[in-house]
Amino acid sequence: MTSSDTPERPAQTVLTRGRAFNRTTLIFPALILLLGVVTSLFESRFCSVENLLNLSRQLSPLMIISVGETFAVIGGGLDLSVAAILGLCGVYGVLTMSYLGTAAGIAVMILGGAVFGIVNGLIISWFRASPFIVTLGALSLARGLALTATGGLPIYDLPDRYVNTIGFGSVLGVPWPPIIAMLTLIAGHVLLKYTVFGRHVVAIGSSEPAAMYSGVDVGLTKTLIYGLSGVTAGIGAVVLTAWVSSAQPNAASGQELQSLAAVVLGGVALTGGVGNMLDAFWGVLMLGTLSNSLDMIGISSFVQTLVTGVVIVLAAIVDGVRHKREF
Amino acid sequence: MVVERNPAVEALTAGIGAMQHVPRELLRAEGICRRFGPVQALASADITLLQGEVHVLLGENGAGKSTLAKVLSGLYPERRDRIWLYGQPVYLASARVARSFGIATVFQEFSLIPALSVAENLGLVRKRTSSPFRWLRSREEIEATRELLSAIGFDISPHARVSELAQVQRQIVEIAKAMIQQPRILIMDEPSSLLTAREEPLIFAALRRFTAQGGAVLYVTHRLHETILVGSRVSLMRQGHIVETRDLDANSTEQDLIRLLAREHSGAVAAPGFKPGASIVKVRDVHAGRDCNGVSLEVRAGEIVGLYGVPGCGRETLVRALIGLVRVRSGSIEHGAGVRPRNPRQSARAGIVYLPSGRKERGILSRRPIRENLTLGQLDAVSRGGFVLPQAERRMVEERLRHLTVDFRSMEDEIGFLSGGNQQKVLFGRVLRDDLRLVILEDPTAGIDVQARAQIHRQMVALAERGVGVLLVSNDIRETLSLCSRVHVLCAGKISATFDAPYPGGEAAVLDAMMGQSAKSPGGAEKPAAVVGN
Repeated sequence: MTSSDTPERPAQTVLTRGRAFNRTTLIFPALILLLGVVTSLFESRFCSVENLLNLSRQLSPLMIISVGETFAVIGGGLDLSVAAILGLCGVYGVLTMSYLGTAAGIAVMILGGAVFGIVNGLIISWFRASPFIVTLGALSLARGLALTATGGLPIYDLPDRYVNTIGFGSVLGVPWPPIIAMLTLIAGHVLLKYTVFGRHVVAIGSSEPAAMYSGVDVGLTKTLIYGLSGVTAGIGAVVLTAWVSSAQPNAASGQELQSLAAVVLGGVALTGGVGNMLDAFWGVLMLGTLSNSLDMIGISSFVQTLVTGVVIVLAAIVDGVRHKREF
Repeated sequence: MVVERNPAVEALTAGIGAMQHVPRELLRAEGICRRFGPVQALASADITLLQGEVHVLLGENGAGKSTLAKVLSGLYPERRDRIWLYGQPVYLASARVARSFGIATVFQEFSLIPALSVAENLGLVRKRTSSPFRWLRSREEIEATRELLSAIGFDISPHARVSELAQVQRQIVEIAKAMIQQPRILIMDEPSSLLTAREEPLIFAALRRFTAQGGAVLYVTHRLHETILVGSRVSLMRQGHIVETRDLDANSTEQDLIRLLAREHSGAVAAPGFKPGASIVKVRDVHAGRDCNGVSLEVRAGEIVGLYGVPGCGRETLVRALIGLVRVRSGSIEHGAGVRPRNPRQSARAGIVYLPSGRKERGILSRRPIRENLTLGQLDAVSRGGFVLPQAERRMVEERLRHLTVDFRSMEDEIGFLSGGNQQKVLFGRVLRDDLRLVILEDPTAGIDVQARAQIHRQMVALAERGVGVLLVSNDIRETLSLCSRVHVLCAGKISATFDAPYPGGEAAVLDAMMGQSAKSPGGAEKPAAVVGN
């Protein structure tokens, strides 16, 4: 083929590339900075070290489950059950802790999350079931299990050492929750970008038939995706229970939608196959900073819910525009 | 065809009838330009459409043919365009506007709604009221649909759901959908990449009837023999320009067009003297799925075997059975070395790779880099402990892209940046595993330009020379005969005839066998191949 052949290239591909550069390197930090500056004008405490550390703790569970959500969305699906699995893992983990000790409790949270997620994944891949419905059912199932186990009441009986280290301890001034969140994020990034598994996730999200015919084990990959999402729910449970010093059956309720919104807001395509961990990071940071800012300014939680809704719808619009395809 | 007049077209075309003998200009476009990012897809293209002509727009993929067709269909509106319809300047603001001016388009991509019946799909465009809540008058629609389809020469039930139709039939419904809009101008963008020798003449006859009634057709293609068969004028496109326009008559030959193209049409690769080796796969009287009813064939190392048949004849089922996706009900599939694969992954590991037809749906990973598209499914070769080795991967990609003469700028570019032919070459690169033993290629050159096609043909021959078995599943008869040392004709789930090179009966014999006119009894594996000729 001679180089003089001009391929017909869709215009938006070029736009997307340009935007990808702006998006990840400039737009989000700029927006978050702007939000911070504006909030500081109203309430100087926003910029205080105390508030920023608090914000980082607050955001950690969402950041952690968003890592799993990113895998699910890039793989062409979604996981509505992460937050419910988080609640369930927290409850059973803390119950285990009081009998068998802290380490066993943590293990139950993470392994329990993995098992729950793998079951989701097996159902989705074996029966070719819709991830939306399967994980929606799993959401209800997990919440139900958590509520029946505790009779709907929170469990406050946590080992002090657990709460004081993971919940309130810090390393060189940085609290444990954000450290765990960042480590999860980095692990997710490496897994997605540098491993064969990650490549298969992207391929399935981009075109499942193409991946299947090329010899990718689609069933295994999907099972692992949801298993991974369950693991992040388990890690989230460890961080959240320690930080709030209790296990609540309704913990993190609504965060499945928050994480989905954050991931899409950050630039992961809902249609699958496009996006990376950095997108999830910026999306979570954006949503979190917004809600903290509103808190600081003293806007009621009712209005906050409203504003979050608007941002989520905006994210959907941005997703539509950003990933618009030629017909 | 249903004679129902479109008032908008009527108003614009008033007076044309008065001077029927002079070919009137229905459409004129001058200096059409389109730029997509860095790519100048159209650089001042001029074209006219005369009443009663089939105007073929010929050119390689990437020459700008599709873009021009889309502009004239109102899909890329641009106020500065100078376009006249029936002598009056118009602005084609949208596909809807173009349709109201009497321009109907058959696109490469299917626009039918799979869940609706044929009649319902046609009803969607036939009604003039545009209220989304109107009643569909089904009986009337069914009659109109039946009438139209039988006028084109096809027997497709108006009640059939589109999702149940074979791809070829969908293509025909697609054409009917354009026709039912009573257009003056019909634009067809590579309509025949799926049609076989059986449907082609019928469609061409329908086009001739359409032009005889005073319509004009803009027929976009890169196939020379179609141009000769259907065209009354041809415009050659290259790099966004119309390079030349000339009349075609009964004496025009493909040779003329090749001279016009001024590049060697290196379609055929002579079937080399094969020295077939050990059997790689031996299929004996296999019944599988719904439409594979007793197929026997064998592919040996170093030979190219053709399986000629239309989509829907059972060829997909057979291939899917070979890679373990469909359970074999009876009969046997013997793999020369080792176990029978139970899924595509095991199959790929055993060196048996299938490249399905349908580049967009089942081939490329859209919006992913060329690199990822090429190494999909063979990351094992460039990874250690589950981690991809970036340098090894890049080296593999570089090597393959060079080997396949893919025209690219950066392997990190999205595959969508490439032309169809180059995309197909990348996909071909995907099957070139080092441990390749058998490659199953389904319509590997459908819808790609002459050069890319020749390149893929050369690669197939090179693979066979390397000792790889090649099973070419195709409905392109020329390609099949020029490459394969043996051709099986698959018809209604059975092998209806088998031919050996050098094919004394030529294309005609194979076509006859497919139409079932000289159907040889479906030979068992032991029977000698029936050579039809003299």
